[in-house]
Amino acid sequence: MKIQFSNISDEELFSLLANSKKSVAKSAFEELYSRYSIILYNYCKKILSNENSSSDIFQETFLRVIEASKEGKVMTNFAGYVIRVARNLCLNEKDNIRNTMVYVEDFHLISNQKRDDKELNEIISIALDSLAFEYRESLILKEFLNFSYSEIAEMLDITLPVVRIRIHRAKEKLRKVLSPYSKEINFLLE
Amino acid sequence: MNNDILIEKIIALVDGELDATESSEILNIINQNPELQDEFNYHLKMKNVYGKIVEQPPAFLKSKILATSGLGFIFWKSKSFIISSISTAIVVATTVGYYFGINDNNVNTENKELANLNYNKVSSSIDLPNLQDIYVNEINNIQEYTNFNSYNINRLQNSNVNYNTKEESSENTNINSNNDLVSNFDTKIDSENQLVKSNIFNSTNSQNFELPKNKKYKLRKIYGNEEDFSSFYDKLNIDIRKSFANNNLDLNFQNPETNQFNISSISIYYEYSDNIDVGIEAGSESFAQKYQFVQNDLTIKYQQYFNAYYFGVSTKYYLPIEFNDRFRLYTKAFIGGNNLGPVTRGEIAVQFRLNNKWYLYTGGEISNLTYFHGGSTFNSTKSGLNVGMKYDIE
Repeated sequence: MKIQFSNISDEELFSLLANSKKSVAKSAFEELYSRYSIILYNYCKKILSNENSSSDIFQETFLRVIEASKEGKVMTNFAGYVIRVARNLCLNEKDNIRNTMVYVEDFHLISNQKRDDKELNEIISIALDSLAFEYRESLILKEFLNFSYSEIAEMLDITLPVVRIRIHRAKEKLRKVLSPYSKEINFLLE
Repeated sequence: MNNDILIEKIIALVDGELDATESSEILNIINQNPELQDEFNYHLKMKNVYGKIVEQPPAFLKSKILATSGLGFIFWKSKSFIISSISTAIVVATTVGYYFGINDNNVNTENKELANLNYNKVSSSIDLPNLQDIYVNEINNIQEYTNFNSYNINRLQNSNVNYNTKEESSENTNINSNNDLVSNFDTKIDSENQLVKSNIFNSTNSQNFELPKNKKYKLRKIYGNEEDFSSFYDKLNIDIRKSFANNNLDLNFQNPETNQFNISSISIYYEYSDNIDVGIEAGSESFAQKYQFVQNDLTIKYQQYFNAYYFGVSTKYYLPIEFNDRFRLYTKAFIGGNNLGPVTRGEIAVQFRLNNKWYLYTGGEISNLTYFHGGSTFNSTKSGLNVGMKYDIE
């Protein structure tokens, strides 16, 4: 009987990664990848602000997930687990790399230049860089990855009010940083 | 409720984190306060902004994870593919090299008749090209042969080594068996040659000899050129290459253009995957040939070169062998053509990364030109070294 992987829970898919049948393990991986690749990639990208490093951490996270399955780890909360793995790797990576600092004050848009989402992404990425790590992380998990406050609290092992405060402060700080670019942002949103 | 808490609640409302009762309460407050309405609208707008910049991971990352974890199979990274590729390249290069006489010391004494003239080929590897209606003129010590085909050909002849008497030609045949034709041939030209020379050119001035239909020459050339992006444009790179090759025919041009066997090319490559680039290549390259034949009781020997522009497609395969993060080894295959016929080329090279944009490379190559004349098909092969640089467009 053919397995419908799309109907299987994350935790069951995780255990299938260690299946002796390679085709089953591969299909389980592909299903998990389709569910979490965008989340993980954007998490790494927004946290690290470095394409090469974020690609490396993205791959490493999935590889560690596969290894954990093969080692027989029992999974209870896959989403939380995968973000924690990525988070730890990102923190290590941040210690290792020297980010190229771009000061928000030095970032100027050319008014007549054709703009697109990529440019919007650059503006937001630079603004995110100005946030303290804990604020940035909470904001990313909420706004880019769509986790709920309670899920974020569980992942980061903090309380719900702390999540609220972090997100609130992150947004207020971001608002200040982005205020010189409000016209550009409005333009890009049109 | 102070302002900070109100804003925190508004943010939570926009985030969908308030229950029905709280939502209703906050919405009432917002409706009575224009400033809070602006606040609410701002956070709604920003939610839209964040939603627009979620990125898709590059497709190749999935393949890399599958390959590294052992769950997937990528044919061009498989051992069998790598081994078979290298083996095939070696077999093909060896076969081509052997068959078409990369070693110029292989002397062929075969006699052929063409246009009622006998000639001796110097080597099986250097038959004549598909030229027609060659007119011969003498300019000082160099006989310049020009043909009137649609493409330009310069022929240079060293008068000190080009002519022999028939007796000498016979000797040559004997000498050939000792694989020493050229040196003996060269030393037997003297005063008699003057006579011979004037004879041939006086009698054939503005006349000509039909070149043997069966011909060859040897080519040689050199070539060269790699990583991860999200758009088509970002995956392009430009490759500029120059070869520093000498023809294996041991040519003896007394001309400053001796190095014309070199090749210059420019290519644009698209990074199809981590290991494979595909692209188009255009450039200029030279071919060379050397031959001798008998005409009017004289043995004539000369060498020539000509240039041709070529165009074609090529692909690079980066071997999954890592020396360190700066060096990469790759093989390259080219197929294209010039105005004479199809050109194929194989190459193996090592690439060195200078920075994120610039790369240098050097390698060896072997190439083959197939051309057609008089209902026959001929091949010309050359080999050599190349250097070049690559620039990543990003």
